[in-house]
Amino acid sequence: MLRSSRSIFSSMLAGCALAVMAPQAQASELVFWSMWNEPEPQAVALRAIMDAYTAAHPETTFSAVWNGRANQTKLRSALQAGTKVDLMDQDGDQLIGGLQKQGLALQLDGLVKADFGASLLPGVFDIYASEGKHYQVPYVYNSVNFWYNKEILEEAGAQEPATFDELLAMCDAVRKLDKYALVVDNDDTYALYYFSYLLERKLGVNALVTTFEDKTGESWLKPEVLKAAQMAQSLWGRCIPDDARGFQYPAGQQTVALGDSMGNLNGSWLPAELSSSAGEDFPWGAFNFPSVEGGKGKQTDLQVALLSMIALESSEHKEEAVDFLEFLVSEEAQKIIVEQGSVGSTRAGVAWPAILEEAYQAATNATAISNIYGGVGINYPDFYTTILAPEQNKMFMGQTEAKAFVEAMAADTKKYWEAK
Amino acid sequence: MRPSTHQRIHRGIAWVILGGWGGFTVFLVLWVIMASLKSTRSLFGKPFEFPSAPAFVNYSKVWVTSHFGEYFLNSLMVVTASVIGLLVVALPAAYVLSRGKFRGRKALLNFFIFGMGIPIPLLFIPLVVMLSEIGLIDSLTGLTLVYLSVSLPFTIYVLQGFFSSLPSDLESAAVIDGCNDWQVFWHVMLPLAAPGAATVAILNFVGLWNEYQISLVLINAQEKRTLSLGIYSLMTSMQYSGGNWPGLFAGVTIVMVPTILIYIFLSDRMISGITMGGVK
Amino acid sequence: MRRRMVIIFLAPAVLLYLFFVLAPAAASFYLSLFQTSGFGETPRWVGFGNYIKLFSDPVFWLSITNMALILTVGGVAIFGLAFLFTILINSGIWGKKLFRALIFMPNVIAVVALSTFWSFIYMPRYGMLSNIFKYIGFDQAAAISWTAPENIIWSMLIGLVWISTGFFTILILAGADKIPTDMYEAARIEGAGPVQMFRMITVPMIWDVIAITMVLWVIEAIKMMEFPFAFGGPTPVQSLLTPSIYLFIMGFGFRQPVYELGYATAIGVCMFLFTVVAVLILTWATRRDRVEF
Repeated sequence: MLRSSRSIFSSMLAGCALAVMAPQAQASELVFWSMWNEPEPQAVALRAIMDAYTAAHPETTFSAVWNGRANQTKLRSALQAGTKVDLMDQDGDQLIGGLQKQGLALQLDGLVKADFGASLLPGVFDIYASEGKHYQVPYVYNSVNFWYNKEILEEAGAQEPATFDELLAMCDAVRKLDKYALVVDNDDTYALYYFSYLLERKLGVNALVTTFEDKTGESWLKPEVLKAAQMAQSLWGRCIPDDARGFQYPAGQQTVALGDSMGNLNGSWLPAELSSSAGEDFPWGAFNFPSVEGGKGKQTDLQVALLSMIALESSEHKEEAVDFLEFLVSEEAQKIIVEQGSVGSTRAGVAWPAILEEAYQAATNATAISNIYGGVGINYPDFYTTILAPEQNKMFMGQTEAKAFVEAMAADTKKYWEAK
Repeated sequence: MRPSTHQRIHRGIAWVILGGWGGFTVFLVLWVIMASLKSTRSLFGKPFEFPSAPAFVNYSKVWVTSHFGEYFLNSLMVVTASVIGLLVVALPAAYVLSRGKFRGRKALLNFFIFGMGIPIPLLFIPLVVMLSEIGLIDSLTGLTLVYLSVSLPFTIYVLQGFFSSLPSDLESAAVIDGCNDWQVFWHVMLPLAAPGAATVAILNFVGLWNEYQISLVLINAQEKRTLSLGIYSLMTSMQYSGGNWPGLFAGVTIVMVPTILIYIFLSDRMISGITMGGVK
Repeated sequence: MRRRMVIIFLAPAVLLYLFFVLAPAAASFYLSLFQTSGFGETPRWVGFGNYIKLFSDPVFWLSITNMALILTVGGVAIFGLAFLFTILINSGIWGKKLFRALIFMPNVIAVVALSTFWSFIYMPRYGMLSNIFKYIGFDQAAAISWTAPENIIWSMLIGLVWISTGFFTILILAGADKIPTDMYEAARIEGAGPVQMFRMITVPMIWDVIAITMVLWVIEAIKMMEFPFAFGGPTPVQSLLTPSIYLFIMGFGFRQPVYELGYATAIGVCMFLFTVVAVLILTWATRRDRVEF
């Protein structure tokens, strides 16, 4: 009797306190549409973060819809039907061409703390800004590095290469073990890892985009571009086995897990994608794409593919949504992402999972970050998807000569801009 | 009558060809089941060897963690309701379109046939908007109605073909016997069309059972998802996370088994004597 | 047949079809005259601009070439095999039901499993073909990269034929099943072989069914999407591009955020028109007087 009346009393007090101290705080449910599927570790981590947020702000609860990767496209129809969604996440580059471009993402400038970007790793907050306006909060860090089996490198008696020539030397050393150092899967995007990185190492960060943005198409005819294409082609037979032309995802990358290939130029998600075949104690190592002789790009320049969350412009709970976005990249939440989601954090000072240690160092020390596949897909997804990626793939796979490729690109680029 | 030597050779050749083709299919099915019991490592390293220690845990993971248990019931409800509804709606329509004599019959039939040429993805946005307005978005009822409707052109088209190839003297005989046109349909034509109906029922069942694009767009809530959405989510999980390929095959096996059973059960009915009796 | 019965029998189908298929399709088709992302902004009127752009788009023509290849080469192979299987299964052999079930079987399996299965067949080094050739000592054949860009469409086509044959075989078989068995008996007594019986009895008796299955194949081939899409891995490969896949890439932000819904719709409208033309040609070509018995 005594207990219960006391608890009623205390809850009344608590209610008063809440009403007095936070008059604007009303119970609200934030609807979150996610790119993850419910059983995935990243979804489990997000669930835990939302629970932690609710524990600290009992008036805010979450209703999550785990849509999987087609999240943004699915949201498109739902928004037309007037569905209320407050938060959503997707690959940052996809959001730029989608919700952000359409003005449906909430602009964060002025709503988040002025130094918000400073708490994140170098370049992270700005990479998806359009004309200086920020919309996205990247909360998972993926970088593109060489991922490899340390034991094989050791056995070959080679070192992590700092230059392209050293990379070739490393390949030769591994060939002596009757293995190939590198492998690819044969879809249209894969090959662009090599060509775009080589171009950036030759001509500096974002070289692929700047080459394309020269509306005359002439930039494609620079000797450095041709050289980059030839260097990409030169990997075949020496670093990459010829039969890899037939590897369909994920057959190629699985050969790394099986120990038949030493490594793969890929996103830092590779250890996760291969976790069930490589096993827990696979000796993962990672290094950045090496520099090239006489090139303007540094080995510490990094291509990234960050995953972002945004608040929607149409949200009726903007304040809570933005507050949650800030919480999402707080130290507390990012530690949950790292521990339960086994992915890289975007916040400075939050260590990544042990397996990704070298990628964490690369991200922390990045001198500049640019977008995966050279970034053409972000603002020019149509050109990227229908022309650049497939044509480049033909070049990389040896169906067209490097020279024919750059000439075709010069012509296609010119045509593209003329039609605009 | 005993088969002649000549016939026996013919049948032998037939057996070898069909046996080879069928054997390859059996191999596929066994391979899928085998793949579902392997580890990812042996799946990619030794894709055509038996698993050393069958990993039944792949099934329990998919059934529980990926909610395949719940999805199974949803799929069963939606697809069964769609197929039954489809037959109820399409059989009479196909009959009239095939045997009726009225102006515009041909045009109306074409109007259905051309419907098959509409690319389904184009329906997504308008359907979502429309179903939201009538309150059927994110509901199994809405999904069933859409499934039924998009399957109509194919079903009506195939069924009218079956009706068209039925002998017309039966119909006139029935009319002479004093059947009204409703009775002709119910007692004469419908039983004759049974093999056709069973065939399209199976084809639709299989097609809808594996359909995921429409359900991906129309269904949000986890408790309303169907099996094919479960497969879809396992498949898309390969990118960025786990990479549990044997789990995917466990899911595929769960999805595959009921359709195989239904096919075997229905194909028995299809050739049962009822239908042949009508002709003789 | 009374008029009332015609109306009652047709009404539910027509209404459902109008409401859930034609109305949304019309709403969507109208968008092909606009430039729009589909995110709800006001679409910009471009008239036939999307179509003009489409006709000078080499990628669209590439997808049409692939479509034509699937339609013709795939079609010949599928129907050739389907007829062969119909003859063989109806030749009075033991295990008719079993074979029918087996031939159809690939159709009940999720496409993702089929495409993965085929990539394991073709896979370099670990794949079945490569290992079989290695085992029998054909090292040159073992080194062929079946899924390399220049071969991949043919490899895909083989898998596709294998799946689709089952579908069309059971449709044709279902038609052949309602032919009275005594017709075959009579022919057999007169000494006709299985091929003759197929040509003289089965084909004329089920001509309607054959015509229908051909129309179905044409429609399916024009809309072909799932298997080539899945066969190409997580991002569609351009060597396997079909109009449907192109539509999907352009309108639905697949991996890259291309949201050109108006343009994608124009592709859809073209596919629809192809279908109409192809169906009309085919129905005209296969038309003939109904065989009665």
